[in-house]
Amino acid sequence: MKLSRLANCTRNLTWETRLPEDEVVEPTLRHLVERGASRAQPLPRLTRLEIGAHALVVVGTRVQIRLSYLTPDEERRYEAERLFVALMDAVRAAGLTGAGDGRRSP
Amino acid sequence: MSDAISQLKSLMPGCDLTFFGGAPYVFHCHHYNLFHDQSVDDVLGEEAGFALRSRAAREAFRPLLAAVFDAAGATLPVERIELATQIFAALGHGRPSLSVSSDGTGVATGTHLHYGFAWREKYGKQVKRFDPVDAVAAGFAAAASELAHGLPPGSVEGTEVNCVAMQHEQCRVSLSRVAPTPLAEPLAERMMADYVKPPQRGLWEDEVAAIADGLRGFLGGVAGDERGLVHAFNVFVTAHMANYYNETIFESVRALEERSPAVVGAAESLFREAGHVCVFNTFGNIILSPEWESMVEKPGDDPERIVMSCLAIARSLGFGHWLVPEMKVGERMVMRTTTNYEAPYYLHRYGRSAKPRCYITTGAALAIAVLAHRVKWSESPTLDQAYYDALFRGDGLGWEAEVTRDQTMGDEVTEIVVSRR
Amino acid sequence: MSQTTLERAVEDVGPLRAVFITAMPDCLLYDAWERAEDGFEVEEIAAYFGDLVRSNRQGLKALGSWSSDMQVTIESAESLVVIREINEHFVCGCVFERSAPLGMVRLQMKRMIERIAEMLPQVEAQERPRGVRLVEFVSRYAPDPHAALMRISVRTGLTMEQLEAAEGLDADAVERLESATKRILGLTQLSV
Repeated sequence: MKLSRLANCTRNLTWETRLPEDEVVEPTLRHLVERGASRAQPLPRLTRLEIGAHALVVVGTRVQIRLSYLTPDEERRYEAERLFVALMDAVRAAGLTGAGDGRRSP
Repeated sequence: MSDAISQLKSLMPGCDLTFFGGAPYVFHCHHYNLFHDQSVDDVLGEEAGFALRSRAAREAFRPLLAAVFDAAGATLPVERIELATQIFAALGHGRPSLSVSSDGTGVATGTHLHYGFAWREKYGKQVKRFDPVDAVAAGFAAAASELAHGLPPGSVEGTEVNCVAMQHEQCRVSLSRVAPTPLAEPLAERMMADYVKPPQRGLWEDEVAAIADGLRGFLGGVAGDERGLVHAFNVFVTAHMANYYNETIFESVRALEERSPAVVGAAESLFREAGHVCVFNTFGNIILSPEWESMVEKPGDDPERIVMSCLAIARSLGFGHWLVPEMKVGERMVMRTTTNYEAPYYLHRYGRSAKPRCYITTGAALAIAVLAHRVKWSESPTLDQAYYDALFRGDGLGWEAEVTRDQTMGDEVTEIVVSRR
Repeated sequence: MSQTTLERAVEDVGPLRAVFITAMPDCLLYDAWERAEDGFEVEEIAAYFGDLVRSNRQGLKALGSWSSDMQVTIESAESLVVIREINEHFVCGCVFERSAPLGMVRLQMKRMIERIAEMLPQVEAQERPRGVRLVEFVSRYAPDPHAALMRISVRTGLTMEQLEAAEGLDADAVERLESATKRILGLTQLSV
């Protein structure tokens, strides 16, 4: 899995990654909910998980990490990486190995 | 928002114009909003620009607030002030704290007003700002104060004395009494019949209409968060009064026509550029969003699909009935509007124009052709400033737009032919 | 200086990624070399490096600690950047791999600058009109660069054609241009 920053529009608030395969998605989301995330489905095929002040928006294997705009500039990368690690942990906990070590793109 | 107030929202069938309390409103993102206001200030200077923008906001918000107070049965000043604040926040403009005396004077403060906060986010690390940006909040607060205390239109004026864009901790608008000024009668839903034309069917019509309906439904559920901001599609979004946009553009261009006719072309180019900014940022980010992937599709590189998508987005944002009757991929695109949100205002306020005035629509048409042909959507492009410059700056554009018909001139439709250079 | 000449000057400097030679005082790209296709916007980078050296020079002069052999070293997350004023007419900016030891970089920089300095022409700098420099400056640094000239036009009353031929502007027009430039950039003074 690789974490990429979407350099568009709002500074460092939106990041993306992909889960390794379709089968990973549901168990990973369930794991995150068990760890305290709240889950909603505002659109068909689209799941939104609220984790603290931030959100993960999932469609297929695509996961968009949306940080709260209140996150101070200097903490945005750290917060995105923290959520990315939590996501990888959830993938591993779901019994899957495709998460790898995780990489972050520049 | 209560049911009674929600029911004040309406869609004009066949026209894709949206109204709230009878006042036309549209969705725009912070990139557009900041560029729009910046262009007004460029034309008029900061002081006169702020004065026009706050006046236009006051005039644009008055009918909406009056309708809301009426629907909610809010008669007391305190009820009205509270309700006004809620409405402003629900529209994504921020949640100001309003403290107003019975004579209409007072202050409005806020740490997350849309313009100030978004300016700091976007430009705060690049340039310093000497002047406040929240003319919309100032005008809104003045309108709320007037209506809360039954004061005549134009009798309260908002002046922003502190602004987060100027590195103050919070924005602070001072409300003072002024001699009432007569208001231009604002364009309202009930007057639209004089200006809108029967809808026409364009290419991919059924799909455009269906997607527009779906996206409109989704946008209907979007509202400001606890701070009154809407952070969606990677941008800060507002539902905003169309009369505000129109009055500020047309008044500043007309002022320049009086003062400095030699550079009117540059001002018109700026406002067409605002159309590029809108399409690139708002349309582009919607197309790249997970929500779009869920509702429509993962974007690919077929120019026709991108054009079709953009038309649906424009309709859902309340921009009017946009269609493409003719397109030859790689060569030519004809975009037409039987209704757009600019022309009715111009005709209502000034009558027929001697030249084309649908600036945003024209700029947007060109930008749609550019996004459709030059962006590799399948590669999830980064829609940043550098990419914008590569697409739209100077010779990078590669396409040109010609307005062949324009509703502000009395034509049946507005039509823009976009061709490869 | 041809590309091949600059290539010769940077031979054997292993961790070097790119070199930009900026002609002063106008901060225009004179020459550039890149090891790989990093997709750098070479003209913009050369201009930024030139401006940076100029600001640095003024800052140091204000502190009373300027000397002609100063160099600026920037350690960013991705690379190590060293910018040096070769003489009053040229600035050399070098981008090294981030992992390169600083001591080695300084040594290599010194040798490389000597080679580049020999290759550069002796020039009599001709100062270009202030209007031209202001237009270039605001086009480079305005927050919305795509709109910079249009913004200047409506603010000053100068047409786009006049701004594109800014060498012909009179003193009053240049003053208006400067005032609009400062306003757009949020600056109280300009060192252009």
